[in-house]
Amino acid sequence: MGSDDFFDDISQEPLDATAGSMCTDAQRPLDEVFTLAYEELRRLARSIRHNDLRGSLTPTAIVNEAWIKLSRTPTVASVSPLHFKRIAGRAMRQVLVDAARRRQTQIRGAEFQRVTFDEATHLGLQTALSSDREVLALDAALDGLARLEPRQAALVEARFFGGLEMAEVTELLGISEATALRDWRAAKAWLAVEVRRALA
Amino acid sequence: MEQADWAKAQRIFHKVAELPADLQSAALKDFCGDDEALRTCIASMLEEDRGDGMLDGGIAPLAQSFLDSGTEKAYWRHVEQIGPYRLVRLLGEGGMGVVYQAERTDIGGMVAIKLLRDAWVSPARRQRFALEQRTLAQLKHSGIAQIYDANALPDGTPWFVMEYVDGVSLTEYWESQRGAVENCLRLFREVCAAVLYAHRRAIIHRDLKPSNILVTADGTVKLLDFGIAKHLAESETPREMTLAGMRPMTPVYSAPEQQSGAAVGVFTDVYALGILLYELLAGELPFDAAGTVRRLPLEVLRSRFAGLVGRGEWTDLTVLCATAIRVEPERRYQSVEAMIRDVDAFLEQRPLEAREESWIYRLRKFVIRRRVRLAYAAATGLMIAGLTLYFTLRLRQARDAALAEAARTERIQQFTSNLFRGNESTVGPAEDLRVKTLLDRGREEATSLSGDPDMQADMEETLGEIYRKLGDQKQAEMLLSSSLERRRSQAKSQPRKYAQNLIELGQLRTDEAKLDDAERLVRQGMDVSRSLPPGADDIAQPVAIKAMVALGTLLEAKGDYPQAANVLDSALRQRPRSDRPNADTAQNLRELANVNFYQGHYTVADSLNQQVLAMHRTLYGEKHPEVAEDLNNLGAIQHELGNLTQAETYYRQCLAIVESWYGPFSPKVAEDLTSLGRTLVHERHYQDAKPLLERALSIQVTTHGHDHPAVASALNELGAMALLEKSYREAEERFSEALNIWRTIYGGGHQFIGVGLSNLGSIYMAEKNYAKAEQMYRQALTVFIDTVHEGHTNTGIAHLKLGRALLRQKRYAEAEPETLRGYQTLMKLVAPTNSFLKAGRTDLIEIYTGLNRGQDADRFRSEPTVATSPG
Repeated sequence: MGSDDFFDDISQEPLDATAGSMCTDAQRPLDEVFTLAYEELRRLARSIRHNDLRGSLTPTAIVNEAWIKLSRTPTVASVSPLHFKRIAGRAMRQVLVDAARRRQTQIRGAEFQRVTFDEATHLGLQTALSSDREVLALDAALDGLARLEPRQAALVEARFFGGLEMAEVTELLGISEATALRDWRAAKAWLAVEVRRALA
Repeated sequence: MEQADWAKAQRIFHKVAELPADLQSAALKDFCGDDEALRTCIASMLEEDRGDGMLDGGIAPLAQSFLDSGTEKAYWRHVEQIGPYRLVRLLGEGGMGVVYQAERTDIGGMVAIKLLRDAWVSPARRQRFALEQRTLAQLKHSGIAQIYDANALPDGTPWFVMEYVDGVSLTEYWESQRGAVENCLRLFREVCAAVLYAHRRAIIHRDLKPSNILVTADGTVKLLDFGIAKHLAESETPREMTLAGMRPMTPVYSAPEQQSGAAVGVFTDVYALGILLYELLAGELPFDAAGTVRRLPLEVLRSRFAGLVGRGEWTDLTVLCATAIRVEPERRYQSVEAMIRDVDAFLEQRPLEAREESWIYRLRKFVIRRRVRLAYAAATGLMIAGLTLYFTLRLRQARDAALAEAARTERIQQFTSNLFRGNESTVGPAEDLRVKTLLDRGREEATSLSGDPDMQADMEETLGEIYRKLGDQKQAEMLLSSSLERRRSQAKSQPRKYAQNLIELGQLRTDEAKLDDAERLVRQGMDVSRSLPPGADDIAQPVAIKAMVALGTLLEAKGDYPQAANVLDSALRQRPRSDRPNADTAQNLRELANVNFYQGHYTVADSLNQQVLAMHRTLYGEKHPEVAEDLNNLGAIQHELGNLTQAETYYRQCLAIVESWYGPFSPKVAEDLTSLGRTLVHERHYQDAKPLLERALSIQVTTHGHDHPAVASALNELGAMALLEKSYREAEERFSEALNIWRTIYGGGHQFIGVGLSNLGSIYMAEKNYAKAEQMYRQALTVFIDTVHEGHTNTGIAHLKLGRALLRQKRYAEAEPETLRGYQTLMKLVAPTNSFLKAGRTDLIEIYTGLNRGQDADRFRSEPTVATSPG
């Protein structure tokens, strides 16, 4: 795990490429929303585990439920539902990446061999992300994409991690649906290439 | 890869992907030329694009792995020793933290270590943990687990070390002990004492429940977990409010206001204590299956406390619990101190305070509710101290029947003015004990006075005025009407009091914007004061002046400014000449300043208000609501003059005073939020303005109902902002709603109607619907000419706006007289940098160019103010 600087880096990164005015003053409430979203996701994840409602676990469902619960609180109420979902998407990414990173740390620390696991994931064509290494690779690739085209990275984060519908993505980023679909398609392909290369 | 490469790669990717599969390879080579790296990259992308994408599976599998993180092991899970502390066992785990029991290896002894899990999530999370640390550091009490040490792990996970409490939960402890009901209450009292200690340091626990209250083998109570404690002294930031709503609290112990996310206070802990007491007594929670609160079951008590519980004791215990568990915070014990007093009353077999309900209860309820709102604001202290003084006075009066009428009235007046004009720094915190005791004794003695309608009327009138000044119009109405009713029958023998009461009720009606009614009452009061017998002139004079000021204020509210100015001016001239600052003179001056302000005489208004401010500062010091009001007025003037930065400074000074005085939910705060919001909107700081304006609107509607000028004003500002943000439909909705309210209150003849119409016109202008805009501006102009006449800023602006609507339709000849008139009007009234003035000049140049009057156009091009300098 990194230092404080690293942590601050996450939450202070502008969350919305289109909202130019979202600067220092607006950052604090966003930071709060992020924390709340994270905690709510974590709580939901636990309750889902307890109730064994695994089938219902989609980002859209989680984010929507978090929104319903949190929209009653003043901090969140000042943020639009769309913006909240965008932030919740960021929270979701962090939750998953962190969980993966912690497990990796533990495995290295305990000098475990991951032979079985690695074999399982690399035999045959992998079509969905499922391992910690893949999550971390995707996270890194997404950072790379953000350097090339921030809007595209924001799109992937919102859509993949936040579960936003295409129509919501277009509204959030202020782009046409045709552009969004093209961006999404190219980004997906490029990220897949990057992830596969990182795991090779 | 560089950004440009990526753009190129995508272009080629999309082009090639559209082609049939067999043509792709060749096309790709074609597009990439000899850039082999680019070709390979796109080829791989195309390959991924053909299959099911890695990202198309969604995050369900990933989330699943997160859910299965029972096996997750964070860094600190492997830690066995932190500094000199060796971890012994896990004590508990929550959403925020993990608590271990640990042994001090250097000097021995057990401690508890709390670590923040997932500290990386955000600074807010770390701040919250640090806040708990700070809270604990402030609390040194035998009933609260102490903090010893704090630091962070190498991975950044913060931790702190607390006193390790080797005990069991409160309920568990009591079940193992049992005993007489008195012992149970003594144990409970220990808990209350620890909570009260925290409250006295302005810290609310907010999560009291058996598992957070441990009792050691020797019976010592220890409060734990101040993780969501709230500091009352700190302003209610959104974060804290959110935390209250967020924390997965144990629902049975959390008060209704916590569950709904409303403001919390000491009463929140009172609620939890009530539930705890019930649970200790009955051995179960006070809720039935439907969630409603049950009475304490007598049979259960008798079985648990070995037949020692009599019916009277049972009733007292029921009252004790029920008073703490009430849904409405204002009906609960107003403090833990009050609750302890009743616990003590029970132990000493005295009657409980909570068992008495009467009109005193209503009064107390008011005090409590205010206190809830004000959260220890100075005004509460004043209110309560004032009541103490009041009843001291009443008691003296009751004992001394020979007290002269004049002296008595004077005292009551003095009391009222002291209440609101005292120096806040001399008033201590709320001491409800003294008030309660005084009220009780006072009521007993006052009963003997119930045959004296004059006394009753004095009391009601005085309280009514207090309520009015605190903005509680409903209570004020009840009391002032009732006292007026009593006085009407004595109008002959007590004409001065009757007149005064009429004026006060008239002022209340002015506050309520029931202006015709107000005028009737005030004029009636004025007539009575004029008909006072000559002998009483020296006393009657102030009443007559008071009536004049009230009338002036009311005419001002009606929008009849010249008339108002006359009345206020002659009231001022009738005052005795005196160099000493005087509150009534200040009030008189202020209203005169306001009237000047509304007529657009900003320089006069500014100088009058500066006088008022100086007087008020001498009278009350820097931080007083009156001073705040002056600052607000000065801000409004600067705003109108276009000096926005100066206006913002005044408004922020004002808001700071008002918020600390009245608490965050007062209509006074709403008014100032609106003013500040308006200036921020004009400065184009929309993000800052919006929450302020929304908050103001919600306070105003709650306080006044929908049809009130304050609500209209808040709506108007929100509309203005929506317009600037180009949300035209929202702007139209807000402006129309405001306009309708103004029409409802004022009928047609008020300048605000013009403001509303003109604002609607601006929307249509922005949408380029010039014909419709013109129509609105023409109506607005008519209203302004009828109400504030030619020569007023608003009339000038309306001319300019109408001129522009015509100009945009290329009707230059019609536009010219309007724009010119508006321009000339504003030249006399506003700063040269005023944006309306600049716009007027631009329009005139365009108009004259359109009319082929080049010389006239040049004339405005060379106007000295054209070359605008900064500031």
